[in-house]
Amino acid sequence: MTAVLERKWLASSLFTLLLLAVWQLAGALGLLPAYVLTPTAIAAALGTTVTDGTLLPASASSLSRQMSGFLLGSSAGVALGLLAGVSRWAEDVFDTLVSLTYPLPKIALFPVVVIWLGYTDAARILVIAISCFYPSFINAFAGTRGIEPRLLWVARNAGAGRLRAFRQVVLRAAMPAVVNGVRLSLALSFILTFATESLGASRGGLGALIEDGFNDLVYPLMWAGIVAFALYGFLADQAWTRLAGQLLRGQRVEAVGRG
Amino acid sequence: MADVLDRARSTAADEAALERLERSRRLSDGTIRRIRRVAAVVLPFVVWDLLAAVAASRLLPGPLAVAQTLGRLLTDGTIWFHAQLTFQRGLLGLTIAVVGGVTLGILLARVRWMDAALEPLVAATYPVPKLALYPLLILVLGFGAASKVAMVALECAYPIVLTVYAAVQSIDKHYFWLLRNVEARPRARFTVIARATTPAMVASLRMATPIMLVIMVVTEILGESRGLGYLIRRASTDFDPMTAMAVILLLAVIGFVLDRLIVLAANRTSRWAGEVRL
Repeated sequence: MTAVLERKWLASSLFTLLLLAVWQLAGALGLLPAYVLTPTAIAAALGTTVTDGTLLPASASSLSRQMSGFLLGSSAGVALGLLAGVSRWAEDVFDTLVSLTYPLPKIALFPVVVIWLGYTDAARILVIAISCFYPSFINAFAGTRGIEPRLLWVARNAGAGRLRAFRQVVLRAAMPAVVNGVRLSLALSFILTFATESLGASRGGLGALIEDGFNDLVYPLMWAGIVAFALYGFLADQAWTRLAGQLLRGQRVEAVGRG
Repeated sequence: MADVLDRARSTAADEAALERLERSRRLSDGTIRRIRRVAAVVLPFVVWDLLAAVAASRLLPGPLAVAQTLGRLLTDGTIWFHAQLTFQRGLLGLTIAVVGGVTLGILLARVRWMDAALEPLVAATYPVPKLALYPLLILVLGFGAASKVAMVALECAYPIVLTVYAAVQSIDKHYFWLLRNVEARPRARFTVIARATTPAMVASLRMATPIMLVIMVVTEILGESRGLGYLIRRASTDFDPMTAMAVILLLAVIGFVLDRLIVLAANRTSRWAGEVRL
């Protein structure tokens, strides 16, 4: 038993398998309502939606919206967050604005944006980007704030110019916080993609697919959409964590938090 | 001799003058920063107002018109009914998330088999958008309050569990050895854990509250005939951006007040929490 506990991933996988087995068994015994499919039925639903050509086009349009919004929002957030960290002028302007608007749920803007832009990809990407901006900005800014000032003095004393000090000291010291903020933005981008796709007259994309399955009582379709969304969220996070490991070689990743 | 004294005197005078100069510069520096900060807030409103004046369309109302609309909605009382519902449900979901999340976080950190069985599962499902499960929650719990409360609790619990877990794990092992050595009662053990994790708990509450607002608004926009999210959607389908923006303004104010309250609580509790440090 202790040998199993030593390997947490193994223990957790076994536990997850146990949960799935109980779920499957409950389904086989007819204990589950019609809308809760068993794990094997969900796998079958995924297979059929892939082969009949509904899942992949929907995934492609969802992921292109999610990626565009995420890239726009979080790159702007990181850039301005770092700028606010090194420039007092930028700090006064952007930090004030961000801390005032940070607690507002940005998704509330979507119905208003829709009045101007309609249920278009532009409207969705805009709202996703605005949401993704915040965690990236806040963490990048906090990362530059947390720099040991002596490191900067040493760099300046050693004759490094402003640009070089920024590249070699500020950027590196802030990197763990930046990575963490971008990770939060990434998770947020998927939530916002689902929200903007399932609202109103949205067509195409996984959110609409899930809503269609829900409204037309086609539960395999709904489940395939839910599982696909979960899978993409998980894989994107894994990919970013791997990439971040490369960016942070030799540095410790610390959680600054705050979504 | 006189020469030296004179020089010393003039140096002192110089220094005093320099200090005065420095102080006035620092003062004006602070004033400039304050002006910049105020300008950063005011300028977007001025631009918005100008744009609205140029557009002169009911699709782009100016900030004053929006504020007036909010004032009207607040005085005639319609908005209170919706705001109250949104906040009752949101805070109930958040409370469930805090109680459940803190309990689970402490259990995961202190009980070995739970850590092994559940922690990797929680960490792996953290980046998964739980909101996609909302249609399923509607099927299970119906369109009413229960599915929304459950959705808020589910989304908010994750950051709380993981933050509390990390905080409890980072407690110095010596405390637990000390507690065992003096055969401390469970209450003392609890106090140590509570004090050591309080800052993390407040920080995770600051993360969870905006999530609560997002989920409440989304779920009310998706399927509801009450609440602030519903008001925004109805205004949007009526092509009435004035009302929608007024509700958004109210949400912004409420979110800001909640955030300030949490920061206040953080400052209050940090002294109590700090006392555990030896």
